[in-house]
Amino acid sequence: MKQTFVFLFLSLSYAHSVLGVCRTDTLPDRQLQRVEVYEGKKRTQLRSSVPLQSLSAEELKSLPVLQVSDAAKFFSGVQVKDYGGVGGLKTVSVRSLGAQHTAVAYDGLLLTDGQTGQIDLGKFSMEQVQTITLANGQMDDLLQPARALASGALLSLETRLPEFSAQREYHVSSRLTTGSWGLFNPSCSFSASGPRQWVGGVSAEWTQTDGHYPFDLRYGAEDAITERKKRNNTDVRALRLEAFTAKRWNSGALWKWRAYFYQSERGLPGATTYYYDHAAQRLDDRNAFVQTQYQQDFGSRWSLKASAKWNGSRQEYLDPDYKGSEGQTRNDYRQQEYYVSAALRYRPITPLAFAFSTDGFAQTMEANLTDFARPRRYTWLSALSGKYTAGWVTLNASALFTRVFERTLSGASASDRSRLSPFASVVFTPFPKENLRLRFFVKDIFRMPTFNDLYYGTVGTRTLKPEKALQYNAGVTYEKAVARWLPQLAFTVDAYYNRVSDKIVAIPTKNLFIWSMVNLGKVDIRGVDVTAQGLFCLHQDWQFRLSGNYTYQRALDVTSDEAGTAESLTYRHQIPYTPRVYASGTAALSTPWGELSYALLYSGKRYALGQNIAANRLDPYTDHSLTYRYDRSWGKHSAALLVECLNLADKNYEIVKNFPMPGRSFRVTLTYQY
Amino acid sequence: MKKKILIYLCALAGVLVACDDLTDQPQPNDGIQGGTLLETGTAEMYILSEGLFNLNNSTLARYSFSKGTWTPNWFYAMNRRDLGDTANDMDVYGSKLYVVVNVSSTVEVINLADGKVLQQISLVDENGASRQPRAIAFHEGKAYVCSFDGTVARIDTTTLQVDTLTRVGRNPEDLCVQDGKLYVSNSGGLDWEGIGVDRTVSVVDLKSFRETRKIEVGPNPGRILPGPDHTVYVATYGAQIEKGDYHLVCIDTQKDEVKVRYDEPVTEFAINDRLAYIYTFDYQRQEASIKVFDLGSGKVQRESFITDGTEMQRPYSISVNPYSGNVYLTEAYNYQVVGDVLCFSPQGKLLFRIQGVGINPNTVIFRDRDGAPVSGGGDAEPDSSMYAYADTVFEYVPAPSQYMNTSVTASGDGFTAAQVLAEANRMFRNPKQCLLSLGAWGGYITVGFRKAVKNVPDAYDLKVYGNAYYDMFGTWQDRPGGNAEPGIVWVAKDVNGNGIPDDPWYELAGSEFQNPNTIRDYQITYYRPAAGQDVRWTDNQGNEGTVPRNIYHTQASYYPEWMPDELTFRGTRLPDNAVNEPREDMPEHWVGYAYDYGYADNHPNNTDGCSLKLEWAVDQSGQPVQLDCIHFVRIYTAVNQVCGWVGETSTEIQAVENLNYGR
Repeated sequence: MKQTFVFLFLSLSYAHSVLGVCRTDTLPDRQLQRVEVYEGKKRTQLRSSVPLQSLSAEELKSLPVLQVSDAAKFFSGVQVKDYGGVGGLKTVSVRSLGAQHTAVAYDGLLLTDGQTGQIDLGKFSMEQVQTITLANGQMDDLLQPARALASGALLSLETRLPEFSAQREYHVSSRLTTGSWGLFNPSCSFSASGPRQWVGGVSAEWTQTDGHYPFDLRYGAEDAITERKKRNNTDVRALRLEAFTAKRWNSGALWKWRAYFYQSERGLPGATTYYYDHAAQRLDDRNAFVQTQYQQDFGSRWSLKASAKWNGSRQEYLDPDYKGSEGQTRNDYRQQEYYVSAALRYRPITPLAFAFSTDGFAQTMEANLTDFARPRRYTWLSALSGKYTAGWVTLNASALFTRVFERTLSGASASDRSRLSPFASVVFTPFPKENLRLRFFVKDIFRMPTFNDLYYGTVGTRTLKPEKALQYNAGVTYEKAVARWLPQLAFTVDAYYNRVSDKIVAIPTKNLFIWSMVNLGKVDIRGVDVTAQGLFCLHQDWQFRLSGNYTYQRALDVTSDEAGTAESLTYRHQIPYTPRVYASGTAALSTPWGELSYALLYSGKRYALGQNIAANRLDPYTDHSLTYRYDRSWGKHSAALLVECLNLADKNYEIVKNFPMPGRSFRVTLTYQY
Repeated sequence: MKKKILIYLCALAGVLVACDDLTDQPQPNDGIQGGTLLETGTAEMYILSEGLFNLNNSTLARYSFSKGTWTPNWFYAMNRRDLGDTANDMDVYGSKLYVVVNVSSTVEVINLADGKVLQQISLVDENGASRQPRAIAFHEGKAYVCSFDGTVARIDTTTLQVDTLTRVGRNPEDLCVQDGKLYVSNSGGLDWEGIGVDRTVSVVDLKSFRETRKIEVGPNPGRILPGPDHTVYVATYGAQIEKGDYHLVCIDTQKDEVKVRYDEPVTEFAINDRLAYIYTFDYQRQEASIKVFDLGSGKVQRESFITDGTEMQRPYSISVNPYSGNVYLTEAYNYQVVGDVLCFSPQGKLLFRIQGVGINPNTVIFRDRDGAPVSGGGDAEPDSSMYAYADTVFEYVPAPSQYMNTSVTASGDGFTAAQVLAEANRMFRNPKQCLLSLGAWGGYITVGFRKAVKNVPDAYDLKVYGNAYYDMFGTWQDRPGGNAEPGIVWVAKDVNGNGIPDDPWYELAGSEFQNPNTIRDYQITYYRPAAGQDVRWTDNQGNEGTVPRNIYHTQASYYPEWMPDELTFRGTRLPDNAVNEPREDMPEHWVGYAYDYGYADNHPNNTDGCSLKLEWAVDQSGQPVQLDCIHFVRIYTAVNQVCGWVGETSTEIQAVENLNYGR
């Protein structure tokens, strides 16, 4: 079982194309392998007790994706807040819980930012990412760090471990992407096998763009005067360097190391202020981490996974137009995190498994702000989980215990916190012959206030409590091989109810100069997520893949309806930046002459502020993209050409008010691999 | 196949769009409900809302008192574009309205005659970076705009161009003109983390347009306003705003030095004559309060301005309507929702509230002339339906009143009787904008209609508009009460056809006609007092008393200056209708109870209580008379009472309407 899993996983990482399933003239074993890979992946999603969505390397190839955030837009139940352009901030909120409730894992370990509690997905490249998976609640896998259970949703970016053989001792890959508005994005990587089953590799990527995209600036409501303008101060230059090494033992044990370095400098174009388009603020980022993970099975019953990570980041912000006497403002923020984790799994009898994992991490933050608290946060997480699998039912349960110690080097610190967070899920397969499953989960989780929430100037409030998120989900998954021409048809439908309480919001005190963070908000979220996929075999080398996601969500502010208060004016209004309806779809046609795919994003109307009034409305938008890909291989070499046409309709829609998205643009990518 | 897919996709798209049941909610109160808002002598009001940073949602709203029209996004309606981001200040000079937009870095100059922008002036520096304009003031044909980059720009109000700039202190927050000089408060607010805030007010000589001196006033000066007797008042907010070290500082503008520094915390304030209305916030106690401060004595006159229990979440600005003396506060709630404007009487009673004016309303200004139309075209001529209203004032004889010699009594310093009558006529011709106070008992007005008011049996024939309202807290007695100031209504028919009210008068017998406490043949005489003294009266029942002065109205005399030294009135006196019902939060809470029917200014305008029937008419002996029609109406204040700090009860009249016009 375990071996099969590993095999599948590795084959998945290495599979070149799943689209061969329709072909009958390839080698039978290869074909078999591919079908298994394909089905294996889908099966994980369909069998999961929590809604799980993923995009494989193959699917990602046919999507218009440059940054991780571009891929996340194709999941259901997700709102990607995108400030536009390559350099714009991009965060993801799942099922309206808020971006701080979404954890992002890179190669198995979380990316973190204690200052804001959210990850800018625009800063992560898809280059090394093999699959991207989004789990609501938590993954079913027992053998994982406790931290993977400690969020409302988990977005995982999984990297590839290359395979080597006697005929192939190294891989080289290089890629060049170029496109509209000065986009220049080359990358190359090299990996090789060494003695004693050591493998390793390095990769480098450069991204640069001036980003001066044009847009229509409309000075008000629908019938307002409109002017064609260009975004300013949108340049980005970013360098990513990455290295990994891994050793595999014959016993199956695996030890992985990864080092990551990212540096960028960018302009901040700011909002499209009417009548004033000067922008000169700069943001420089540096982020580095080193992480390692060791995994081993002891006999057939015990498994161990141990991890450690160091993360350091620095952000420098410059406003050259600040009107203080120095004529500018320069902020410097530094963060570090040290992290260790150990997880142990025990399977006493076949249907039953238990796991215990414990994590400890220390986070620090420094800033060149007056009287900055210089917080230190020490967190200890332990999780006990259990899983029972019978033929027709799978039960999962876990309890996560969190203990947080807050310290500061300067001034008062926030209170220490401890909390127990339960999770339970169940999957039924009512009919043995049908791939129909019913799934349910409940999870009570929270997020800690961020360092900004607690300590930022006069805004931060040290007495903040954690923000709580309670999630319920009930769903159906179904899959069927309908006919030879329709070898796969799958859909999932999940209905959910979430309740966010003690929501951390900024409100002004009665003094108009001073705002503070408080645990005030309550949000009531009811929604339905639907996903569907179909694979059509049209003719030998011709196939057609369709997939669609749909989300309907009522995310209502239910803080208070007390007459005369500000809260009563937004009571039962949809929370900001949350559409009632969101949908995405892709259609990919593969032919002997390449693959042509079409991708669609649709978002219903949203509101930029809590009041659902016309003045705050953001109009619905639709984004269409076309992608053409042509692959060619000869001997051990392969090459690909990718042409993308993005936002065909050339509409500068806004996801964030006054931050227009780029209009129609083109990208061309050439890839060579050995 | 492809076609089919296309169809599916279209169908899918259709379903998706159809499911988007998110719909725009109405603004809390789209427009004004309950008809007209009353303001004396005020034609229109502009309300600037700054919106929120980065949202380009500053708005400028207009309310026309004379037409009763409300345009929440008036600037957009007139110009088909929005103001931009974070409009901080505005003011009227001549026939133009100047709006200072901080983040958009513009000054928009609007022609009030048609609402159109004449010029958009951009205030950026040599590098194209914003100067961050904050506030505007005017003097002799020039507009002065201070910007956060430490400059004051001088704009010529005819060419509408910046003609020059001068440097003042750090991050100037506000400015005002007094004694021909410009006073600029240098906050230095952006240096609070570094070298510390500024502590000075710059004095700029307007001839040379150079800073001539800096007056040290204390850390972080902000709002600055001209005061009485060669003074300027400035609020200082302390080195650290959250510490609450706020003060009100008075500058002597003849010596240009600090005269006195009051230990009175001030966040925002407005000055009306010798009174300052102060909004403060105690950060330590997390408490807000609105006080009335006497600039003459330098003492807090009232710790709590709002007297009717109206609660405000977060007042954002405070201003005084110079034409009525009413105080306007804006409500910003949590700064992220559309706010309100609340109008309070000088006594601190809520007169009306306009909801949904915009996000963070920060400036309210008033004009006594109507400017722009709501949309296109010039001001329409009053249509013939205006003839339903009495439009001629034959006599206007107000009794002594706290509103005497102000616009509420169609008068002012040095007005003659003829001027008062002319002014009363002018006001009365605009039934939506007029409010005339009749003063204490006996004060009266006589008005006439162009067309006779027919007596229609069993129907209301006349409606008298006043400013009565019901107490928002209810009353202790189980009957409507609040601000009822009943006046008795007389009617007359132009029997001799000469168009002058020299015909027999008939009283409309209201509900208290048979009340044994109603005194017929009551007579009162008021005596002109020395300046600053109460008005004494004697009556024919052997009583005497005064119309006392109060702290809200500081004019020299409450006695009509244009009248002889003694004023005698005769008529019917109704029993007192007001009761003091103390509440915990209001030790003195006066409720004026409404009589059942038959009086002016007795029930709110939106009730039948202010409509009258001609069949109630009685002659001098109290016998009913049958009138087929009438041409003239006389109304006089019918109670003789003083309600503590609220002062004398006086009937107010807005308009008299012929309900049978056109029938």
